[in-house]
Formats: sequence, structure tokens, C-alpha cells
Amino acid sequence: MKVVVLVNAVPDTAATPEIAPDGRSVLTEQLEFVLDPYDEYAVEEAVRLKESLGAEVIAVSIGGDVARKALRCAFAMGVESGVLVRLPGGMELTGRGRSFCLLPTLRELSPDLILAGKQTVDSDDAQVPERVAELLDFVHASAVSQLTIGEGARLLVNREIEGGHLVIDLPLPAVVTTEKGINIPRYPALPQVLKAKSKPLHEVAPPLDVDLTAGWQVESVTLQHTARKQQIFSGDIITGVQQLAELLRQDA
Amino acid sequence: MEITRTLGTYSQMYWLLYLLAGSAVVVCAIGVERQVRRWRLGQGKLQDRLDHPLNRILAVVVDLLTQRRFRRAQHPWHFHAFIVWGFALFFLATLCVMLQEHFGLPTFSGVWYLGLKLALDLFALLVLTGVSFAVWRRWRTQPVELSRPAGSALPLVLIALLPLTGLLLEGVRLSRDDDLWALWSPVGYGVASFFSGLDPQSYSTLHQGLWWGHLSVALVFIAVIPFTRLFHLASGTAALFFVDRQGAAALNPLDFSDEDATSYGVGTIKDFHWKRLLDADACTGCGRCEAQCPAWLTKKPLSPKELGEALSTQLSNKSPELIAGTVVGDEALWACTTCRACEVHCPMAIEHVPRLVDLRRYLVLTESRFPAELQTAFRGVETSGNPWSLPRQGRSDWAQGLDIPLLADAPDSEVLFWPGCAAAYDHRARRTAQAQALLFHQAGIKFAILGAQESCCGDAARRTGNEYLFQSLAEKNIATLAPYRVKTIVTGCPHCFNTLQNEYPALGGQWQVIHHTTFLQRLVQEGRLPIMTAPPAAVVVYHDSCYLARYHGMTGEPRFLLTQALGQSPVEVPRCGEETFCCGGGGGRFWLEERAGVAMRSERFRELKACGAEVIATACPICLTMLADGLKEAGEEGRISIHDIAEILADACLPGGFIYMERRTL
Repeated sequence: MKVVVLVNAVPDTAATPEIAPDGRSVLTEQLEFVLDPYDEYAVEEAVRLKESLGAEVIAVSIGGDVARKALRCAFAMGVESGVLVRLPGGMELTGRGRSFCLLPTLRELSPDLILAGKQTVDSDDAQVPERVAELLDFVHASAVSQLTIGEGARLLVNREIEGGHLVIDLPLPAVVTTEKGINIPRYPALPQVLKAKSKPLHEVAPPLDVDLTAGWQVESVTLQHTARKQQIFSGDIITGVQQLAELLRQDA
Repeated sequence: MEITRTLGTYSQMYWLLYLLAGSAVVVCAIGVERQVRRWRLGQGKLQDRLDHPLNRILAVVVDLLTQRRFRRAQHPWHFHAFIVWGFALFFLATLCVMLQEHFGLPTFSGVWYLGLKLALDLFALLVLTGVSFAVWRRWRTQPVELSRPAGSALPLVLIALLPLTGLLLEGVRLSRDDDLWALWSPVGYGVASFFSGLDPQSYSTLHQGLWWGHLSVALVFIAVIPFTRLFHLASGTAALFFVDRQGAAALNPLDFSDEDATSYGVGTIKDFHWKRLLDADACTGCGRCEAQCPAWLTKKPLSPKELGEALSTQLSNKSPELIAGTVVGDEALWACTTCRACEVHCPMAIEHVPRLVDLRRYLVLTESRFPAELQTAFRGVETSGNPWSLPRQGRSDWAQGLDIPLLADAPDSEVLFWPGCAAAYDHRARRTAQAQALLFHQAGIKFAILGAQESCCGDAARRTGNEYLFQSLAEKNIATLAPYRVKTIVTGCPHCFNTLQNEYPALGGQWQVIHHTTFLQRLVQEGRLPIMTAPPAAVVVYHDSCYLARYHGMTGEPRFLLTQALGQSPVEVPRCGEETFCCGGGGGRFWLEERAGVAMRSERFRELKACGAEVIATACPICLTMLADGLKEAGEEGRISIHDIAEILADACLPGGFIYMERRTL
């Protein structure tokens, strides 16, 4: 079984970004990049498939050095090799462009299963895995909170839906995106972290036969400042708690 | 007439004496070699612990002769000192006899002889008293912390027999000899009365029997040292000599250059440094560590003594078994706050804390097995430079409106102020950083902060075993500071203080690092911070931070400041100074939930409250937060308040006070 896991580097969400002078992008120099938390679930799930079924796991990403970092994070968690579709510096892609970008690599790897986070935490895009499924003509299930490999090259996945669960049986090859709660991503042990530095990471160029940048473009990006409402309840603790509960009911 | 006594009664039998003595020494040497071979299973080189050899020798001599490591008010120590001093004296006297007898030196004559005689006589009695107490303690009172393994009787019997046969021998001799100086051995003289009127034949038999008996006891004592608990004479002395001079204050850096290594920290017994193996053998099971351990005292599953004894057993079996999780439970390893009470009280200076961190390193680095809260903290520190994953940019929020420049904008500042994560982010602890900064302003100090460029110093990461994370944080901070000409760093937190001062030098960061209490003391003494307001009438008690009091012996500075600010000395809690009781937040425990037993913070808060305190003063933002939790849990809000010493001092030094002011601007 061959599993490809799609990973992204995203700015640490705790950091407050600065807007570039053109007002259309965010200054990334000051930002700390991490492996997208949703992708972490996908990587963990893939590594567990490696450990339980002996699956071959390859991580794939798009971008430059920060994307390399995301791949190394996946390596540290147990992924054995990776492919980076290296973009020229400053090139920004839409979901459409990214999925076209991945296509030749994915066709070459021809995996049985593609795993990815259900969305990126920086731009909240949830497009690339679905587009890839479409382009490859794979079935797909998104925001999966439980995944089991069933009999005869089939998958059993569990999706949390409003007020209940949906269990889906689907054939391989497939694309599955991971939801929080599917697992607890590991904190890699140090020997793995150090080994990650020397695991094979192949770089490939983006495809030339499609216009990757066509489509929408960002008009402007602004920061939202939410002023926190602060209120101190005086008096005894019981009334204080009651007042707080009341306020939370009304305003929150 | 020469003052001495006849030696060489049995000189025709000396060949036998030397044969026996030689055999005893050989047996002892064989035993010692066998023990040394045990320690050689460990890692590292002998040279690791040979720096400053003269200081080491001097320290051991003082340790042994003054019994200073043993002399602690909480534990009985006289009985042991009597035995040690007695035996040292017995050895000295034997040496003197030998020198006079074989080399004709006047080492057993004259006034010196009389003094020695008196001392020997009295100490024979004291040793007997001491050994009786030890026997009483071991078989009657049986303190819970004391290990009482099989075979502990033999050493005590031998210790008792030596002065006993010695006194009898002296008594028999004095009963016959017309010794002019008999009264110089009053106990022996008293014993002599039992033997008066012996006929010469009986005397000769009795004397000869006792003489050989006394000698045999001494030789058996020497021979059995390595095979009984008496071995602590050798292993303990060695442990004291080879002690890590910084110990828990500067943990050993791990080398990560070998990328193919599969294991870090200590998995099995042979992964330990040889000194740790020696430590395990030097333990006598006195249990002082356990009796002082805040984790043990609040019913956690950690006993530093049991850990050491278990390691000694592992060593005997040369066990290939993993230690963490089998020999000692994970919960026990996570229970330690690295407060160092065990080490301070250990007569053998066993390096309890580094040993435990060795095991935590294995859990974190090799097995990636640790409480879930730690992962959040590790991740936070890795990406955001603080354990709460709060934005880096928010690191200087505490300083808003206080007119504190960033070091980048004021590179010529005389002092870099390093508040640390807690004081930078925690809403309550921020007030302590503000108080400190305002006091520095008041005293006219040109200082700056790093702001968002400052990262967690790595103390908690290191002490929870994440050495890799610690080193990356240290390297990052050192690189941040490299372009600046910073000479002096004042820290707001004792943990940052210890790490920057003691642990960064090994990684290339060297500055003069000062804790804020030391710095403020200097400013007050220089008259740069005159006290303005009348002291409040509240009862103030000071809670010593482990990392100040035990790690650095800094108990005077905080008290000096409080005395200045209050106009009187603070009230003392029973466990104060070096004997302080941990708040529960050290060693990374600040990042962890305290699930088992009683909460340390509550235990400590109750003790502080029992002093009648209205204000609890601290000098550590971690203690402050932990005790504030203890206070809230006890429902004492509004009745007792907790403040950093800087806040109390600021209240007395700043126009308009500090504590009851909302955030003030200048």
C-alpha cells in the first residue's frame, strides 16, 4: 500500500502577522512556520498505517524553504521520503494552481491513498485535496475523524456531521482529509528528529503545460482587531458566577 | 622521666600481626576493586570529575572532619559524628604508636601522649554511646525513612567491639601497671577497678587475649569494609570527592552530533555516568532525602531514596532492563520539582536531581513518553518561545507605557532586563516585572529589554528532559544577544537567573547575570532607592524560592530588601532559607497538573498562613503564581495577599506607592 500525505507549512497562528506595504499579502519574514495542525493529523494517520500495515508513506508539498521545513517535520514524525514541488520565489498559487502543480507528481507516485488536512489554518482553504481527487478521478471523503482499512482494498471512514456520525465505505484509490480528533499527533522522539535531516527529499519543478497562476487574485488583506471585553464582577462568588453565566448567555 | 607507656609487649609476635594486617588489607583491596569495577560499567571518564583537585581534597577533608553534610537540625547527627571522630582518633593513635615503635619518633610520649590518651578514653565512651543510639534507632524507634536491610548489625557490632576491647585492655593494663598517668584515662581507670587483684598468670592471659582480640576486631573491620554497609566509608568519601561541583545548577549538556544515535538519556543502568553508579552505591539508606522531598511529603509516588536503592540493585544484576517504567514508574519521575531538598540533605552529596533528569531525558528524547500537557508546552516554546503559545509580539506588552527601550534601539544600555516568560505573559506576574522596571527607572538605571526577541530560557524544557529543545532555545538566545555588547543581565525569575548564569556558559553565552533581588539590594545600599513611605503594619512572611535559596544560597538579599521596605524583619516560616519547601512549580512542574496526593502549593500556603501572615512575599514569578493558586483554593482571597519583593519595595520607594495603583506610567 502506498500512501501520499499532502503537507503545508503555515505561519504559527499565535503570531500576529504584519501586512505588506502593498496591502495584498502578509510579511512572512518575521513569522515562524509550522506544519499545518490539520496536516499533522494526516501525517500521524499515515505513519500509523506505515506502522500497522507496512504502508509506504511519501509526503508531498509545494513551495520553497518553509515547505521543506514542513516536509522535515513530517519526516520527524515517521514519513520516510518526500517530494517538494519547488516554486520560484514569490510565486503565489490558488487552490486550482496548487492542485495542477501536484498532479504530475501524484500521477507518477500513483498512491492507493492520499491523506491531507481538511483545510489549511492560515487561509482556511479547503480545496486542494478535493480538486486533486477530481483531477485523478479518485473517490474522496473530507473531514474524517476515524479511518479503518477494510477488506478488499476498501476504506471505512467516520465523519462527524451535525448531531451524528456518518460511516462511509469507499474503494481505493481515494483521497481522505483529516479532522481534529482522528488521532493525537506524536511529539517525535529525538532519534527520528535527527534522522529526518537525512531522509530523501526530492525536488521537482512545477508543470509548464498549465497556467498555474490563472484565476482569482487577492485584492486586499487586513487585520481584524477584536477588543476583548473585560468585566470584573464584584460581590460574593455565587452572584458573580450567576452574573457571568447570564452575560455569557446574552452576549456570547 | 619520659611520659609514655611501654610498647612492644608482644613484639616477638609482630610477624603474625603483619601477616594478619596484610591479609586484611588485601581482602579489603579485593573487595574495593570489585566495587570499582561496578562503577566502571558506566559512561564517561575519570577526568570528568577531577577539576580543581586541591579544592576537592580540601572539601572532603572538611566534610569528613566537621561532618558538615551530616549536621542538619532536622536529623540526629551527633551519634554518627561521635563514631567518626572516635574512629579518626583511633586511627591517629594507632599511627602514633606505630611511628614510635618502629621509627623511634616521639609520637606517643610527652604531653601529646597524655592528651591523646585522654581523648581516646573519652571518645571510646562516646563511640559506644553513638553506637548504642544507632542500635536503638535501628531496632527500637525505627524511623520510617531509614532503610534497614539485612546485615546492618555486623558493622555496628564491629564498631562497638573496637572501643569496648580497647577500654578493657586499658583497664586490665592499669589494674597492674603502676601508671603515674592512669587518671588521664578516667574511663579505663574505672574499668581497672574490676580487675584489681588479678594474679600475674591470669593477667597475662587476659591481657594477651584482649590485645589480640582488639587487634582482630580492627583487622576484621578493615577486611569487611567493602562487603558491608561499612563500605560507605569508601564510597561516601569517593562520592564526596568526585561530586559535580555545579550539579543540578548546571546540568550536563548532551551531545547531539551523532545523528545515528538511537538512544538519548539513560535507558538502562549502564547508560549512567560512572559517578551516578558510585552514587547509587554510596547511599546508606538514611532516608533524609525522602524525609525532605516535597513530592514524597505530599504523597506522590517518588522517593529519591528508593530510586537510588533500586538503581543499586539494577547495578548488582547488571540489568539490561529499561529503568523508566519498570524500575521506577513514570509518575514518580514526573513528580520531581528539582527543588534540591534531597541533595542538600544528603550526607553523601548524591546528585539526585541530575540523575532523575537523566531518566527524564530518556523518556522525552528516546521514547517521546511524557504527560500530555508537556507536549503543549514544548510546542509552545518551540514555535512561540513561551509555553502558552502566546504571540511573540506580546512579549513586551507588560512594558507598555513604561518607557523601556528595546535593546535594538538602545544598544548601549548598561543592563539588559530579562523578565522571563512568566513575568512577560502571566497577568498577575506582569506586575512584578513592572515593579522591577519602575524601580530601575527610579534608581536611574539605563536598561533595555529584548521584547519579542527574547525566548524562553529553556530551564523547564531542560529539567523535563527535553535537552534538545533546551539547547536550541539557548543557542537562539545566545545568537540573539551576540550582536550586542551586553555585559549585565538582570533577571526577574530565579529560573532564568540560574540557567543564564550557570548553564549558558557551556553553550557559549557568558554575561554577568544578576537576580533582581541582588540588583535591588545593590541599588538600595548605594542609596539610589530611598524609602519614601511609612512601612505598612501588615505581617509579612517570605517564602524562599528553591532556585535562590538552595541553588544559590541567596537567602539574605530578599530579607534585606523586605527589612528595608518594611522597617522590620519579615516573619519566618518554619521551613525557611535553605530548608524551604517547594511551591510545586520547579523542574517544569509549572507546566504540569498535580494530580496525585496533596497539592504542594496548598501544603506550602497552609504553612505560610499558619505564621499569621497577611502578606506573603516571593522573589520568583513561578512561586508567586503557584502560591496564588494555593491561596485561591484555600478561599483566602482578600484576607492574605501575595507580592513579589519588588512590588513591596516599589510600594515603599515610588512616589504614590505601587501595589494599590493601577498600572502607572511615568
